[in-house]
Amino acid sequence: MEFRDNPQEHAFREEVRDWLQTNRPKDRRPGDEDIAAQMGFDRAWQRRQYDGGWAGISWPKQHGGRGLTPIEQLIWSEEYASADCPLVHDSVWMALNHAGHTIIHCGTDAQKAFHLPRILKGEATWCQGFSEPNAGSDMLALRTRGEVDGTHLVVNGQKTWTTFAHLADYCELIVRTGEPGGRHKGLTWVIGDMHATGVTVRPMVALDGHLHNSECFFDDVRIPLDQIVGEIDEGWSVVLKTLEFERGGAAFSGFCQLAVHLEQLIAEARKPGATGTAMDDPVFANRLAMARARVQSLRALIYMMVEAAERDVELGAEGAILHLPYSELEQEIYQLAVDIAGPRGLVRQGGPAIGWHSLWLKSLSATIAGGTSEIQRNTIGERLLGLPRSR
Amino acid sequence: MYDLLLNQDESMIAESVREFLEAELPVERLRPNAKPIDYEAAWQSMAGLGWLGVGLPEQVGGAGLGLVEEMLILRECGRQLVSPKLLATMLAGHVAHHAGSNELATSFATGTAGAALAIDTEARGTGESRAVLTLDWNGSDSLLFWNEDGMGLFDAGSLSSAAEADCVDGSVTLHSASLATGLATAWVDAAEASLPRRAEVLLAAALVGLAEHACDLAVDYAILREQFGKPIGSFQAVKHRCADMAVRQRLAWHQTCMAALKLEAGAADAPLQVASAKLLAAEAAQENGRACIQIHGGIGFQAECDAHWFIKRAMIYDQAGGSMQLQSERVINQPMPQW
Repeated sequence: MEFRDNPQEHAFREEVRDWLQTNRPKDRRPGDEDIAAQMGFDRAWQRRQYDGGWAGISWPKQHGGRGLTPIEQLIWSEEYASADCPLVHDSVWMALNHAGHTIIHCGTDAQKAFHLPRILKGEATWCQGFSEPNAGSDMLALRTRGEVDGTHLVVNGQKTWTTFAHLADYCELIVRTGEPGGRHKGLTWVIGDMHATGVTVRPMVALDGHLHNSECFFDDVRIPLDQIVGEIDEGWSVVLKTLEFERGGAAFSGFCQLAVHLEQLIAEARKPGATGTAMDDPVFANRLAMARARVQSLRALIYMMVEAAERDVELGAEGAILHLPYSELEQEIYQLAVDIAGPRGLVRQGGPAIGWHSLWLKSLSATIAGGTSEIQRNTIGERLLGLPRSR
Repeated sequence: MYDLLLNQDESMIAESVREFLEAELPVERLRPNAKPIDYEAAWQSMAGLGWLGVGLPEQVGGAGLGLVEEMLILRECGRQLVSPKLLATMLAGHVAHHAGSNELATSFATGTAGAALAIDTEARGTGESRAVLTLDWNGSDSLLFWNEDGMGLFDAGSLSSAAEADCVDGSVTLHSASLATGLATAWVDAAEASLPRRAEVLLAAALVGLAEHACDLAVDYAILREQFGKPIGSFQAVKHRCADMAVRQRLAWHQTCMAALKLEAGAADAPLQVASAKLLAAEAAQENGRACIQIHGGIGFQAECDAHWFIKRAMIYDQAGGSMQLQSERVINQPMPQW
């Protein structure tokens, strides 16, 4: 445990800051009401990062990434958030942090050669085909079938709550190729072309009135066998690889953004209004203080995790605690922003700056997506504390 | 970069302190019919192991290490509810050393002199005569008192109308008294050394230790205790409460480590980090202390069960060095932290 004042880190931070100041989009990112325009914006921004050599910061250099160390990735995320760059969880995010990482670690050379450059340049977007109507928290109950027919896998079934499916070019499709009811046995991870014949996407209106998720139907969709990532029937190990990345550096970038948003909220709460400042209210002041302290502590947790990654220390279940307090804090901070607005908070507004309302409404999914808080608590209880299984 | 992972030396220190306390001063000693403990002998052993002067230079009998090692020791002391005298004596050595009394510093570092905490009962007051509560003061120990101006040592001559009081935590003796803050035998201004912040980091570490032990006991019991034919820890209502305990104590611990490193590095946001640590550690210890009793059910309400000690000690350490209310004001009044 120590403070290392490393001049190289300072220099790197300066470099990142300068690049972001010059290159970050100056136009406002289109809101969720125009998701197609938003995706065009996201792709252009990704292309700009690619041209500047900043695409795929966590990807190894031989796959076209920047190959940054875990500490450098964290510095990038911190500066990205401070520079008020576009939201990180955009339509390119899934491709970069989910699909890209999976293909790098488990894909064939042909898959790497085709997909990785497209992802880095923002030319291809991806969605995650894990959840099904009867396989949410109980993901291993998934039933979408994959039958081998000659040189193809024929897929039939339904995925749901699939984020960005209506915009995606490809899908991280998990299908059951083995015995029905086989749980983690007999699963296959395959690259699904969302423009293929037999794929029907029905976008769902989310609680904020916008299109985030879709239902996806697969009817006799023929996928060449060479699109399988890893081995047939051995998809579970690939899934674990995919989910591993979700918890690493990719989660830190969202956190850095939340930390910056809280400081913006604190600054707003100090501005005098007609009846004083929001900070004069001891209840708001206390909630803001608790949120600020919790942000600091999550940051400390992340620093610990980054150091472990840097030193190749296996954290095991210890690394699984971030998601729960982070997602609950995200909800509290955006709820607080809306509460501070008082009765005016009832009027929904896009808002010229951040748009607290859209962040608040979206944050209601934070404790569901990527494993509900209830599942997170089971995992912590069973894997970290050794309590007996509930099921 | 702040490296918040324990290295091998640090893990070894923590482990040896834990083993010693589990053997010599386990929390079971506080049970109504436990066999009596020779506290004086235990004190001498801890002094002999070098705990009291771990953060002091070698020329005053210390080990020449730092706040991190002090924090690791205090965390374990929190786990086993060691007397707050240990924390006070550790800090008293720093006061004496900064005030230039090397002889006095050596006597604290080697355990030949002791100190007791004096908690200011009017955290926002500024008068020269302060109503204080002393913790485990035996009449001959120095008293350690601090406020935003600095930290000082006092002897019995600076106290008036001292009276023993019944403490909510029966493992601590309490005196209420009036302290004349102008009569310090040694005083270190906060501008010279941030000893008040150091004290708060160490209190936070002790609070984390309380939170951790409360969680451990609750988890052990949830595995052992069966109802409806199953261990109660298999029920999500119990399991999720345990998970929340685990998350709280870990976040409080990592934050305390961050606060310690930032304080030692003289970082601009050290006051924010320290206040955040004290705030979250007090919350974790109190919430976990309550949850520990709850998970034990009926037995948790009984004096013979160890579950009740943690919430009580947590209340004392919360009040020492500024309660959650005060810390939360500090957190929000600090400027925006830089990355």
